[in-house]
Amino acid sequence: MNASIDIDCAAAREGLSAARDGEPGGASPAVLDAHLARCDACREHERALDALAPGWAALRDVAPPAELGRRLAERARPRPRALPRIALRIAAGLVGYAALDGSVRWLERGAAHSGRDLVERVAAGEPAAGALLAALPEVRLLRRLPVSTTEEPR
Amino acid sequence: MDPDLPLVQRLRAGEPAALEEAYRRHGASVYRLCLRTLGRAADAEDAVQEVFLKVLERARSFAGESRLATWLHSVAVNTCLHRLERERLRGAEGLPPEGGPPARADDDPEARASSAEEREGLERLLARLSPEHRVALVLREVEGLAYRDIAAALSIPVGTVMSRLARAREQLARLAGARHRGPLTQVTP
Repeated sequence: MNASIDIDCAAAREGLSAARDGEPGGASPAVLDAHLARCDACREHERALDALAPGWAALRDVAPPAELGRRLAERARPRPRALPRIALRIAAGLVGYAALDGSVRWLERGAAHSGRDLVERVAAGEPAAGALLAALPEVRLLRRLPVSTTEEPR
Repeated sequence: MDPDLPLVQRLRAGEPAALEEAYRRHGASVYRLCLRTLGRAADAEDAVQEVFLKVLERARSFAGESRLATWLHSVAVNTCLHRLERERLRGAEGLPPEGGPPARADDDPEARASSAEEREGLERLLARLSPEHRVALVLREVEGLAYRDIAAALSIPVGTVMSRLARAREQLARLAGARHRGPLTQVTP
């Protein structure tokens, strides 16, 4: 391009920026030099950028903290897989069922051992004994047990 | 050909040691980019970890069209811009930029003080640029990337890289000139 052709400051600064980076594009070096020779503002602009060079060098001289790599490695380490939620629910259900089953057996056993006493206590009009006896059919229903053949027909 | 190609294949296989190797090779560059974009060392450290974990997670879907370094820069830029946007929406105020630890100890105290002064001055100027301008300048001036690689990292055409860098430098030169002349509040960016 002919160096006598002048370009505006915006085009010159884009070309100067690319030239600073050693990249092709923008105006030719001769045109850029000619513009700089004529333009005080662009010369000042280039001087201001040149003055920042030591600052850029200092920014390049920065390293991450030494422990950052170790922290990253720790976070990337595979962890044992957590149990899926459905498995937890099944486990909780089994524990709950076992507890309920145990309670029912305990109640039944208690009732069998003290069945006679209980009937006597109910006959004597003791309210707590009556409540316990009343609860037994409910408990059996929960366990879906067949009604005992020894039970009195209603 | 990308010298990191075997490393990419190990990352695809999910090898934790491959992530450590990727960090050894590119961690410093990603850290500097995050630090200059976000301004605070603690945020940069979090972002760096996020970047490398994302890369490990997405390695299987990485087509390998760009180099690993370019991909890392791209993930880092997106991670940082996303964090800045989240902060902006939260209304959080930006803190003054932090320098981060120097790569090597300088024995000469005078040179160290002068270097710190130059660095802090430039950090303050960079903090006044838009994140897009800041990122482009850091990729070029600090990491020394070619326009082609900056374009790939930012997913923009090379011509846009050229004009963006020119505009960023114009603003930077204006701010630097104003700093020598007087208070920055008189500057119209």
